[in-house]
Amino acid sequence: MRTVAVLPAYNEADTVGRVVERTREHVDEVVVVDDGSSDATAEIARSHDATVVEHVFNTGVGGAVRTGYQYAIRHDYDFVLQIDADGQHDPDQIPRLLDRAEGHDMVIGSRYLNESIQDYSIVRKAGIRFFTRVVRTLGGVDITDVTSGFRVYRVEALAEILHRSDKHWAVEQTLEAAKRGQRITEVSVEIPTRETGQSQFTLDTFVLYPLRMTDVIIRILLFR
Amino acid sequence: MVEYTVVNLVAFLVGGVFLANGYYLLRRGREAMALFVTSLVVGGGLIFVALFPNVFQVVASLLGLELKARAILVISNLTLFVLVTYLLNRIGRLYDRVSRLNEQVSLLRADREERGDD
Repeated sequence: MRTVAVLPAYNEADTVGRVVERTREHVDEVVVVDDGSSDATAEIARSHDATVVEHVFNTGVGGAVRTGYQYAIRHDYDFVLQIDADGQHDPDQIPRLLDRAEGHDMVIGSRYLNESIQDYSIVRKAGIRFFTRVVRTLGGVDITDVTSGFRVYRVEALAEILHRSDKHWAVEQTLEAAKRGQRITEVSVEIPTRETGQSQFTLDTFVLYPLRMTDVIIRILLFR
Repeated sequence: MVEYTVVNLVAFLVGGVFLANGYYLLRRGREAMALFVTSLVVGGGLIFVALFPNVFQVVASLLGLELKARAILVISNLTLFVLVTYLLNRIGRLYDRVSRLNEQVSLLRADREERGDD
């Protein structure tokens, strides 16, 4: 079983090195997709022997993970692990996700199966709950944390559900996988709120979040 | 008797700009015919109503409106709506293409680095 880890990274110079080091213990290759960082993220990742794929400009986390998926597909990996470069996800949990991936197409590390979700803001929790409910209802799949970025995919199945949105990829991708009857499961993983670096949840994200997600849901319902 | 005002002159000039823009885009060969046709229709329409302002009285009658000013408003709003929808659609498609190019360029560069290492 060949596994590649994909780390979407945007200005994560402070944390990416350590995450690469700890992740490599569990996978065959670590690929950092540098999404147009203006700091030394790419150089630091290279110095820790990660393969670095550098975006020409910043597209958003969805675009970065999609590039990572393409890398996994092109290099004939069996599984792709997605993990954040900011240190929020504990690499020691990777074996638990990979173990569950045998027999599944998608494994999501869920914050809702443990107490770590309690540390998140009310707005964030409401957003996660709402969109998880949307995916549960529309996709008929029993999941608790659709927005989690700590995941494992079977590459063969992933090729069928490459999402289009650069900003909010998780809902579109998970919903499509559910509609295609892919085997989706969850593993309880504690994911604390991030303390360093620049969060993807900016004011702009919060303001436009409902509009973008509505757009994604309508697009999937109508065209996919 | 048709009365021409500054509004007619402005409409005529803006229509001319639309036509010139359409011609410019076509000459450069960067956009599809659809954009040229849109510029042609909007520009030609503006010049037409600048030269024949009373035509809106006919439109107002057709739409069941009392005043031609209301007909102008209705037609303007509909035209704007169509244009904005079209442009938003094109922006979305262009963004998607640029994003895909970004993805492909980054992967090709990584491939090149990998081969260079070998």
